[in-house]
Amino acid sequence: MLFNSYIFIFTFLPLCVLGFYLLKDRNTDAAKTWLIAFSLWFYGYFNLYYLAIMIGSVTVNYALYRFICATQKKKQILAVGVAANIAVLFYFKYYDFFAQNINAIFKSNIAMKNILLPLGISFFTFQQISFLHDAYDGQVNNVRFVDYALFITFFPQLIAGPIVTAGEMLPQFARIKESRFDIEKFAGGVFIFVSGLAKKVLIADVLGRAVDFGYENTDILSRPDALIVILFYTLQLYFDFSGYCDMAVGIGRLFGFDIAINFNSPYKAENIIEFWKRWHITLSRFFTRNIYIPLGGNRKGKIRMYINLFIVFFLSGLWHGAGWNFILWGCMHGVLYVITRALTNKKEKNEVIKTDAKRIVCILLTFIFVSIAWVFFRANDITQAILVLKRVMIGDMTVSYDMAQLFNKGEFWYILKVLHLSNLSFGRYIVMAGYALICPIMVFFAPNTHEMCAKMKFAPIHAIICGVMFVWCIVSLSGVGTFLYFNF
Amino acid sequence: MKPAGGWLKILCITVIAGLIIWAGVIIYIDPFFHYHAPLEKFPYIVDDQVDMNPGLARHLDYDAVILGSSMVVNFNTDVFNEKIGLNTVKLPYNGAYPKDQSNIMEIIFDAKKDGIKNVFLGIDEMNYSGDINETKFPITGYLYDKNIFNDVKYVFNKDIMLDYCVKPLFDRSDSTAWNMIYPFWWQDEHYQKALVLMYYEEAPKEKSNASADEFIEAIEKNLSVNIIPYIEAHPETTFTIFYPPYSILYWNDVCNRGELDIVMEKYRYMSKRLLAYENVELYFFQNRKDIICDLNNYADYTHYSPEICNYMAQCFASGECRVTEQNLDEEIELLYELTKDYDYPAIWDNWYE
Repeated sequence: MLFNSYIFIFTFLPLCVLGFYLLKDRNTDAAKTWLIAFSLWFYGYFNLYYLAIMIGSVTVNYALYRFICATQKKKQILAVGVAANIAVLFYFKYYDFFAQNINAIFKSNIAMKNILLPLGISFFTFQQISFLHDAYDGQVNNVRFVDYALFITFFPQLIAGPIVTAGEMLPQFARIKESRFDIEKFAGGVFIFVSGLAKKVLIADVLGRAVDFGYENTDILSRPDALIVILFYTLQLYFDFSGYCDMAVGIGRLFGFDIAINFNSPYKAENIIEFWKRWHITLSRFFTRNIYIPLGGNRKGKIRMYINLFIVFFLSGLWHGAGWNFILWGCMHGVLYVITRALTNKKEKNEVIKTDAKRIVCILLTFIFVSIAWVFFRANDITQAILVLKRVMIGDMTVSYDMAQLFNKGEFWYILKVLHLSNLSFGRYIVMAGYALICPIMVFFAPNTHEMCAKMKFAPIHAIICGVMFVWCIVSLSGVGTFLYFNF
Repeated sequence: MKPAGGWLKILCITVIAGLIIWAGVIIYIDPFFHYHAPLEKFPYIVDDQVDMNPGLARHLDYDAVILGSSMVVNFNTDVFNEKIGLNTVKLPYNGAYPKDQSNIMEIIFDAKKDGIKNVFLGIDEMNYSGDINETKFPITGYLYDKNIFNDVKYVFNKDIMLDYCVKPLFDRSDSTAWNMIYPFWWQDEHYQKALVLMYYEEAPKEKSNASADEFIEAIEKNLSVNIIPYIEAHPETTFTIFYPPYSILYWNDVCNRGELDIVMEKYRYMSKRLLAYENVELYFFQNRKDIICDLNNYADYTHYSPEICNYMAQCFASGECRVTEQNLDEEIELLYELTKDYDYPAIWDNWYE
């Protein structure tokens, strides 16, 4: 089930919230079971086969957790648990990729399996590895199955994160009965959910029209077309994924839970290190705790630290997708991260103070680098990514009419018509230009959803604007696609 | 109440009021005719066969329907009213498969409990050899079923509001004449031989190893599941079934693919199967040399002009071109002779005749 679907908004969510509040004061376990049942419905709605895999994974991991708690051979059981989870992930996500590469190198003939990737498997697998790790460290004790199952399956974060930790969620589950209904938190949750929905429906999907057009017509892109496609994908991915995470956080608040924030205005970052502190924050946290630190972190000298950092980014690329383009994307970030880390270490010693001009240049350069790297992330393969980048240098200077026309639909058709803009020679480009101007302003200058929520004064006019936006999103749902991060 | 409580209250009122107004407008205008017949004075745009046919079938007042593929969209229903005296509505699906016909007949006979007088059904034999559940385009479930809950996709739909409720009010020139719904964009000047030849891509010559039996098995299944049950269940209705007259270029392709004998067998089988029912009248226009060999009647290698449609409607009234079990073989033989021995290369001798 998608957050941005009629069944979710009109049936699933109201029923789930209502049932939870009816049960929570009477019987906490019943309330938790209610949430688990709805989460299973949420997940099984995509495919019952997925549901069976997830239930199996949750059950086995809980058994491993109990085993870790009970045995002296904690390390061995942890190793088995991590290996088992990685093996499952490998089978579903990477089997064909590795088979393809082995075939190419050794001229062998391993058959492809074309396995249907269960949604969110990368996310719930990582969450469970993280939990086993916490159990090994002794950070989680006496966790009952109902709590564990809710921690993993809780539907707001199930498909595409944030990758929450046991330390964040289990204490909140334990306080369900004592916690009182907080109307400010609830209202804030509604606001965050609507903002996320608007980011997805009104911004990301509209930008996606140009992006899809660009990647379907790579050969004929002009220079400005290629630049627009690169810029719009950078913006689309942010609005899409952060929109999803906002919705997850907003839904969590409807139940009184705080789900970790995953985005903090990442394109305002002044360098790549800061970018990764602001983008997909919970993934970076996972890699730091479960890969970087166990590898030795910065405790074994600088060279080893740089290698560890690079390994993290290499694995991050691989985690995002079974393809060389994803690995290259991860390596690009890894190389720049290591270089930046080395340079900032030196600078910190000299205490360099940045002027505003320098900060702006740094933000823009980081944005440009990230945008170029996203080309590899979006392209079907490395060849296509290089072709898109080439088109920036060798294409002609016209802007595609067909691409601009993709924006002049629905409400924008009326704006152009009423303002008599459609008859102007540049009229057809106005909406696309508007998106190219306003979206960067939003990511560079506007406060993000969580900053806005923190300052919310609950003014009536704000409620009306939020309500109209919600209605506009609902009536736009019929033409909306799935979230980009569902693929990972 | 805390400010957040008031905020939530205003938000809820805004959302509920907004959704009620939105749904109210769509239900009142009902651009896909899902709930009621068209409003008398609203300038509807009728251009979406898959989405609009179910509503039209349910809520229009009629006693005859024209079904088929793009081969029937040029029919003017006024001609049926004048020549045959039937209040007729046209419900085609471009590229229709038998399942498309079955879907719409299900709705028609469900909506018209007393039955209808006539079903005019154009059959494209090449579309009757596929899977029995295949439709040309995915159907829009919420417009075909009776589940009111999935109607949210209709009543809370921005595209339907903007493109079909508001746009016609801005630009009335787009509104559709009820006698010519789903019209082609082709104008009179597009029906000429030179244009047909310009866009025609001849099928490559090859030898077919297929046998007619392979196709006939699939045709039998399609007829048995998607067409015959309605003929049998509605003896009060006359099923006027016809094979649209594709141009001679179509037959050039059939010959190039080495399938002429197979196609003849398919026609023979289908026709015999359909003629077994008393309430079926079959019309065969394929062998009308004066129509199919004059490419000025066509806009491409299969689609013919509104004039040909008018002529076919006249035939339905007069009985001309009708085939029976007695003359079926003779008519198919005529088509076979015409298409087998035709001087196809000569077609290109004069583009402007």
